[in-house]
Amino acid sequence: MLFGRTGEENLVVRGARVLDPAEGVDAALDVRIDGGTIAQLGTNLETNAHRVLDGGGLVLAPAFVDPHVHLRTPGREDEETIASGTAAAAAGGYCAILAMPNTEPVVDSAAVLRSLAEAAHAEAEVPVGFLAAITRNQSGAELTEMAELAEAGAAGFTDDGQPVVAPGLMRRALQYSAVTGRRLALHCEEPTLSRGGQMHEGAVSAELGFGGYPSVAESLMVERDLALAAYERQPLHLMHLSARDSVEALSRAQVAGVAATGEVTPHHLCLTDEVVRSLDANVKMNPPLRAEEDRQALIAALRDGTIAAVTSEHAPHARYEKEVPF
Amino acid sequence: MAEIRVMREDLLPPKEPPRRHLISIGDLRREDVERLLGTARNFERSLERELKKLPTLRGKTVVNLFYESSTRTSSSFELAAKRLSADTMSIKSAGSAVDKGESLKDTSLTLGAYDPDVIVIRHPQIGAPQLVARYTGAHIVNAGDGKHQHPTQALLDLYTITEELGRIEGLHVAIVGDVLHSRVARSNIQALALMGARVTLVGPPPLIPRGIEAMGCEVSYEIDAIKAADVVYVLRMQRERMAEGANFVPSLREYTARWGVTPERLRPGQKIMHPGPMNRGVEIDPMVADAADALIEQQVRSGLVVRMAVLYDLLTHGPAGVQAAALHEIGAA
Repeated sequence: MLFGRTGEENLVVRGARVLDPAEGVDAALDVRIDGGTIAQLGTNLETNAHRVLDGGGLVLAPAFVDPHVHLRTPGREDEETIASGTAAAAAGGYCAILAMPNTEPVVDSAAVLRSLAEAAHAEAEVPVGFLAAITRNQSGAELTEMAELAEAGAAGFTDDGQPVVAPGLMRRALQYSAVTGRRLALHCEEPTLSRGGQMHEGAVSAELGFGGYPSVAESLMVERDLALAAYERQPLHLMHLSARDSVEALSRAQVAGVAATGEVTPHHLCLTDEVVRSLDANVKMNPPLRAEEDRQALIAALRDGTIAAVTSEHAPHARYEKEVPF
Repeated sequence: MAEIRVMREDLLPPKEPPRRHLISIGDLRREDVERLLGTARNFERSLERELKKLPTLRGKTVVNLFYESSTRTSSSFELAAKRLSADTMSIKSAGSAVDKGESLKDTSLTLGAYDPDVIVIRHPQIGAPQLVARYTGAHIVNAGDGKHQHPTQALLDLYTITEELGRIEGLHVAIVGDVLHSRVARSNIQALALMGARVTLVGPPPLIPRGIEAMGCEVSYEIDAIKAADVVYVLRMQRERMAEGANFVPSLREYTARWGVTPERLRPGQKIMHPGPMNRGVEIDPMVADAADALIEQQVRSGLVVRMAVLYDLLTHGPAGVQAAALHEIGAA
């Protein structure tokens, strides 16, 4: 369920380069929008008293959907608000975004979710969906009231930033997702393998002296979650995959019939652990930037459809929080 | 609004050259190291005189900013600056504004207001020296940042080896112990490889970081591998860095039994080094530490003249006739 305003404008865009790979369209065309819905593509369309926008020299394409952003609201409105985050999304060409629940407080009750939905109705520039937490306070101990949260409009469930460590609890969450009809979105990290890790474990971390966060810390949890999803015959979504072994596991599970999807971020597609040599705190993230072989595997998985979505993982931090040693 | 015109480059006032820093051994070329060691040798001779103080850096200010406990490094930097007649100021994190939660950026800006010429910094976090370099106009000397680098330690070790064995090129150095947590090891691997030595790391697999061979060294998990080396460099077991339950080694007893450097595991004539402070009876047998072939006290003595050389080199653009190349340049960006 998405919350926020949607456009209801009557508009004709003239002569833009219309790009829609899914429909096989790439041509200079006019596009007519009636009441916020695309009504017609063609040349020399009637304007019907609609507002006319000259699209000459511009590209007109279906807007993006971002399944993984952080709006920092409630709790850290100094970093982002629903208004500022959705304005950024609109400026970037997104027509819908999904916000993560790791806020202060965590979105783990219908009351918090309803207040966010209300705020989104008032402030959001593009429609927003809210994921709710899998466990109360994302502490990995007890499930949230997922059915009530789903009724209140939760778009899905995630403990993003934290893995659901206990396999037994993960299994219960998967079982219960049959009741909610909403998918679990998982941050895959085995904490005893990533503990103390500040960057990808490899030659660069060895040289710089950073604690290593090995790729197997992610792929081992991916394998576990896929095994549980297969056993429970429930779908799941794997967030911000970074490692070759993870996408290979996802691909094998998909072939075996598990309804699993995956996402990847632009930074994991474009950068590797080599950039950490800059010691710039802006390239510190979880999961960390990995090796070139991982990057190539992510690109291949996006090409062949194993990975279904590219997400910005928009996660604003206050400037002073990044003006620190790595 | 008035039109803003960009002035032609040649009409602008001359830009100050970028500040030189010593942050990582990786920033040095072989000739930089040779120049620094040569300068240290000159200072060593000057210290033989009765009046040990040189006027070279009179009027310069050296700030020692130590966020971690240190005896030999902080005292030798302080003495090095004083021997060169610089004014020194030592700030320890305990009892300062740092204790009150001041960020490193703000501490840097505060200290920068006094226009110090050099800031020597030790900090538990990797990259802290770069951060201080960004927010002050001082030359930065890294006196240890997390597990990353401790370049003056590696330089004083090179100096000690050269004084004792006459060369570094072609020597075989075994570095034994907790490489994972050791900035000393990282700086030394780079420095020894730069100067043409062969380096073998020896220790238990969990304490040898995966992928470290890419730095140009070999790895062995067998203590017998130290027998082939000319120099055995023993690292401290950093008990304070080992989180409870991390299980890097099952116990210190097991570590000592398998990787402790004992007289039986050495052959005559091998030189022994240790960056200190030692855990006698853990990584190094007391008999080894006190043997004639141990260079541990020489290392401490070398620390003084090498740190004098580093301060001198940064503040005077190198000795007469040699235009010092940048040690480490951080541009305005």
